[in-house]
Amino acid sequence: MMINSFFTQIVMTAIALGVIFFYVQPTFTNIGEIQESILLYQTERGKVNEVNIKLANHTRRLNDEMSQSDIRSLMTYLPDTVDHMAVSADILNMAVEADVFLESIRSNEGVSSSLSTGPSIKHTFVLGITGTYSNIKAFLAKLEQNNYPLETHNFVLSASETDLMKVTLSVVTYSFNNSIQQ
Amino acid sequence: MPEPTNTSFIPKRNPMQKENRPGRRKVYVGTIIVQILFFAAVVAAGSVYAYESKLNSNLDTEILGLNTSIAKFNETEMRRVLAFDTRLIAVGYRLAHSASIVSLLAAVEGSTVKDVQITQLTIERQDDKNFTVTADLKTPSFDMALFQRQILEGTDTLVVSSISDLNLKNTPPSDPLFRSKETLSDEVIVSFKAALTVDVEKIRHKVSVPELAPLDELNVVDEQPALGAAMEEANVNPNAI
Repeated sequence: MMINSFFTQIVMTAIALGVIFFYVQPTFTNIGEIQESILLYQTERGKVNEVNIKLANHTRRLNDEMSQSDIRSLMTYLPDTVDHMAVSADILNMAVEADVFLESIRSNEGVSSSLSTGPSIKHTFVLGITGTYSNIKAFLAKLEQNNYPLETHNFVLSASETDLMKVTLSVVTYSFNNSIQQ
Repeated sequence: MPEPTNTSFIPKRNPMQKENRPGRRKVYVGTIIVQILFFAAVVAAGSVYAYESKLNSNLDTEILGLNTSIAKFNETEMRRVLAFDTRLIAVGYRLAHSASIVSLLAAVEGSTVKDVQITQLTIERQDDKNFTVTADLKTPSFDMALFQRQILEGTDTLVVSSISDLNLKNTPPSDPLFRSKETLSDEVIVSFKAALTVDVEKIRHKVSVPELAPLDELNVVDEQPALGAAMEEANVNPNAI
């Protein structure tokens, strides 16, 4: 028979070896790469899905579980911008309530303080007040009980012959530095 | 009788002679191996092709799935959540490092001897962990100054960094007593400067906040807002104080 001929067998062997070396073996290599790719895509897809699920959970908590008053309080405590005139008006109101004389109030532009205090911008107000010691303390207490931070960073109290004392202090409040998220 | 003649043309078979059967087909091992190799190669090629096609299909599915998952990702929501989280962390940091100047003044008051007068008090917040307090003190006697120093060094809240600028004054030459031969008065004026350090942890802000009704339940629209309410109303806008 023709198939048994020596020449045919040589051709068959050559074809078999050619198929193995030039198709099967490279395809095996390719299959390995495809499998690795599939694994990689599966892993990355899993990560993306995980992030999506977490994001969905956080968004749901943010939208449904947190009360609007809490969010409003948070936004008040650390707002996006600070209205210097409004803060000055608040300080004036506190001074009136504490019965101290507000001689001067000067505000400085916000300075980013991302290194020391996180993503917040510092706003400084320098005040000059006069009053009795107890009234000055009452004024400071009102500053501390505000619904947004009014931290006293510098405080110079000078005694005088009378009951009235002069105080120069710098009060600091903060706004949120939203540009960090961009 | 005549002998029967052998007229048949068919040769008689010699029983001793072996039958000439056709030869067995020869099977070579090499041929089988070659055939197996050939068909195995063909089958392997087909299988590999099919498997590769299936894997490519799976890979396409995974890529499509990943793209779909990426498309589902809401970047705006992510920014909003991240901003909220960052804001919470920042607020938490500020609250964790809040301090009360009133408590600090109370601590200074508590550790000041009765007859000692503070002529100037400077408080400076160096960082979020410490306050530096500089007090100019005046006492009517040296013993009182020593006692005051002892009290300051013994307090828990205030840590004495240094005591400097010691200034002692007894009766000045302009005083008539100075030129007289009488015994001078024992009264002196001792002034010195005390530099203190205060840890923020020790002067935490302690205020009991009264239970307030939620803002939504408050009906303050028709009422004249109180003085303090002006501050709250100004802060309702979340983007501005």
